Amino acid sequence: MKETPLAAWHRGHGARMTEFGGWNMPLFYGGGILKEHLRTRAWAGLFDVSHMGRFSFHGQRTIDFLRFALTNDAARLSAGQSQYTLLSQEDGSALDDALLYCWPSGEYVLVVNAANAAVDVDFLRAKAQGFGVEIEDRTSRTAMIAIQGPASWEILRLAASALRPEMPGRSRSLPISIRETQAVVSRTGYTGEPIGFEVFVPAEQAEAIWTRLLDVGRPLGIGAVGLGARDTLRLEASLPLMGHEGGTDPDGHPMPILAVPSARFGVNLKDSQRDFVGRAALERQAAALQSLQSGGPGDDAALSRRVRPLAILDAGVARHGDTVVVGDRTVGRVTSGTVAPYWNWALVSNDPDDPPPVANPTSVEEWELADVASRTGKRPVALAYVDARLDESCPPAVLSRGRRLRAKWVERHGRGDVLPYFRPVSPGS
Amino acid sequence: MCDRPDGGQVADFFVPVGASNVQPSDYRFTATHEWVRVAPGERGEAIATVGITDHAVQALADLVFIELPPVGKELKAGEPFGQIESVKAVSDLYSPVSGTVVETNAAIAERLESLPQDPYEKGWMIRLRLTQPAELETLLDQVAYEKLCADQAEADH
Repeated sequence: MKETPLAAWHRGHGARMTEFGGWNMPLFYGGGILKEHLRTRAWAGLFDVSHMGRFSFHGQRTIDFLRFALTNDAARLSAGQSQYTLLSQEDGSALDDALLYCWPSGEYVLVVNAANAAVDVDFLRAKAQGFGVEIEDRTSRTAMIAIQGPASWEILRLAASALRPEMPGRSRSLPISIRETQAVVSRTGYTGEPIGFEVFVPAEQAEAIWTRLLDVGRPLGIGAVGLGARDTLRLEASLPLMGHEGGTDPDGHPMPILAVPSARFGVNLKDSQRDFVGRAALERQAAALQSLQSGGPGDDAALSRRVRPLAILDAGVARHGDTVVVGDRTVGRVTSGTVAPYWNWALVSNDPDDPPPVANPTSVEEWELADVASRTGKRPVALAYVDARLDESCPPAVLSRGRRLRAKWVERHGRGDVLPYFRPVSPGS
Repeated sequence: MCDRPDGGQVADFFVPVGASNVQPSDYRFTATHEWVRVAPGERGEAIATVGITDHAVQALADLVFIELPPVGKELKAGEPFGQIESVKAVSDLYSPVSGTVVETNAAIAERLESLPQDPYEKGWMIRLRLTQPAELETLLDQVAYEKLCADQAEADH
């Protein structure tokens, strides 16, 4: 199993380690998944995401290559920006999803899922040949640290030298110097937090920067967070995980890329002159979606099912592969399900002036020890891959291990559009 | 179940939170990490109290829901009596002995997050009227159970 430059730190700090995508990674530390989730939502979480694949590209025709190999249009990126994108198969299903960065230096860097990095690089190298582009795997030479949550920008400013006070816009990146190490920080993440960053650092400086962020951020409530809470956070924010929402469905069939709502941010069909892998299939999916949205019949051959957030109303957890029914009719499958904890505030209110019902950050350690149950709740949340033409007024249910869990279609499980907090959204009754 | 974060150290048998006169030797265990303790009921019949061990609670981590059987349900030894869900997974709960469910612990179902504080007493899950008391003899005692956990932790490394 591969290890990140921070593996020794994780083991030395009580992490329960788990295999993920061929890497030995922290699942959670002492406090457990639920507390790490709540900590990220109220203050800040620090995540080692160095397992993700990081590739850079060299060659005169790099931009032409990226425009051909990826679904989003790399030509729309300028230095200091990033975009969500996908590696599509010819059939319009995803090999992987990714973030493409145009570094402040102008260099292009692609960040992919750890479990798919090997097939991604094969795919990219095969496509790159015709463009004379070299692909450099920088995964082991660098580390990637995510800092997510309302206090994260303040903590970065305390840790770095001479970082300007105003936060960069979403998806923007800029150079940063922490402990005299040059790094790049980008306002991106996988938690749904409206304030969250990812920092790219040299592997040999990873632990020094990691501990610096923890040390300066402690009074502001930061703590290390493992992959367990990374999954509950992304699921509460309805963010797709390749292999669940994308790739093949629980029955083994390829899933159309545009079946996942967030994929529309990663597919750009505007420039009709741009040929790219999977374009023809994606055009058909986009037409099917448009038809469905205008009340038309859609196109079952191109897009018969879609991924949707599903709130579970009973006390039980829907899991990957569980059957979704309406009445006694099967309408699809659960692709991801878990329990998300939440702070007991603003379940319905969206007033940014609402004070959070959480302890003062200076008492975070007390909170760690205290019984948090009175100020928090938990709810099962899921994403499901279901018939594209559903009558939403008919209540669904999930068949989970012999139980029938009442459920409800929702637009979202939470919202991050009002800074600085990601807030849970109640499914209603 | 025993892949504890502390590297397989077997903890002290149990923390005597409000421990009355109950002794570790009063408990028997299954290889699936349930415990059972038998005491006479009001009419002198043998009543078994069942829960899961501290090792199981630690290994499952982040418990969120539990489903317990209805009173009156008849269970055979080794048969599932319910399910316990953590954030990451769902696990069956197996009855160590045969019997009829006479009581379930509603308090622990409502406050499952308190289970790690006292899995051997306040964290009990069901009470059964035993139908095959001889089955108790086939279960593990404390020493055998702790050895099983140590062996499993060893195998995980």
